Amino acid sequence: MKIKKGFTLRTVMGQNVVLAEGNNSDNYGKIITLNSSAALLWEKLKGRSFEAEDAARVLVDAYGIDAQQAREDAWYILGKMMEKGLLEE
Amino acid sequence: MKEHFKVAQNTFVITAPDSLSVRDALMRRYGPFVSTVDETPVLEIDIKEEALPESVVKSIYEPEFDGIGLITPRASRLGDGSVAMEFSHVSEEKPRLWMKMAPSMNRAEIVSAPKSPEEDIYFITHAIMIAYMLATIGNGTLLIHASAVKYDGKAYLFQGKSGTGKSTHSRLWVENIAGAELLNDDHPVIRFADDGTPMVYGSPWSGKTHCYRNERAQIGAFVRIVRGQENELRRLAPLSSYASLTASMFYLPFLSEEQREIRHRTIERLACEVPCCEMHCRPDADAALTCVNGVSNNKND
Repeated sequence: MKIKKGFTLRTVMGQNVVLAEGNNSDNYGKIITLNSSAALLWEKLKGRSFEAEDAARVLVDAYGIDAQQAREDAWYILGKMMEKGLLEE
Repeated sequence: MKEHFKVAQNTFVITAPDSLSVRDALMRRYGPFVSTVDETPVLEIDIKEEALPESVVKSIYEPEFDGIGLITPRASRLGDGSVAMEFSHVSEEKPRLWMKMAPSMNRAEIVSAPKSPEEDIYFITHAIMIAYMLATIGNGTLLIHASAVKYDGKAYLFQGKSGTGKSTHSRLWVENIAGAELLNDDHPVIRFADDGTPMVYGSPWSGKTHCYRNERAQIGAFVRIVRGQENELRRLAPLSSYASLTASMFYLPFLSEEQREIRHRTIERLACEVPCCEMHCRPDADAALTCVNGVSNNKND
């Protein structure tokens, strides 16, 4: 999967926020807040194709949690991102 | 002709042959902004009327960005860092206007293929607006797609996509609220004053309404207009305010990272300092009254 083009991660008022850039898109003006783990995944995985396993590895490296926990967290975060329309196949 | 203009404290120069066919239409819009003060311009614009040069906007750098109404712009970044833009009518293949901006964004060359002054002026004034926007983002100037009304010493900006009733809402204020007057109907200019007050300025870019007022006012509130069955105003949360403001700003794909950052910080500052609201409303007098009461309450928060 991939992070959809046309979204930018920024810090707005102290929060990690993803917003759609480009007023061609229906998403323009849409804003989605990310927690720090989700923001980390975004930074590390943007611009390339990845699997859930890659996301889990990012979390292991960053937080030193065990692989099973990381896999669950990654699934949860990616699921949320998918739900919000931030990811594509 | 060579004339200096000043919009929101930004001076720019337009140079064009005296024979320019759109001269009268141009001066109708820009005349109120003529500046006699000799200041270094942030932007120099040259306008010519002739056949367009061979299209260089072939390998499109960013496919396209949204135009206003009937104008479709296309842009590409050239090898030397300058940006070339072509503007066409949505129903036509052939571009009507070509513009090239220097890499430093302080010079714009405009070539307009003359058809009729009534149509040409739309393309020319649109191109000048884009050039102005690009030249001034770096100093914290923002153009916003909104209709602005002055009332009781402050300005209220009504946002919304084309056709949602921004202009109608402005008109309802003017007709039903004593002392309310239109400042600009399409693209007013926002800038923080030296003392930090968020200000909005009238501009030569007022859409279909000929309202070109060289005036400014402190921004009282931003109000996003949404069509509804009831008239109801609600204040937006800080992040939603940021999103609402961003949605009313032009998206320009070829901004530098520095320009994007400045634009982002300026919008963030506005969202923190000025109340942003959403107004669900019908197109009636009560909508204007509900709105003005609501934004006055916000003032006393």
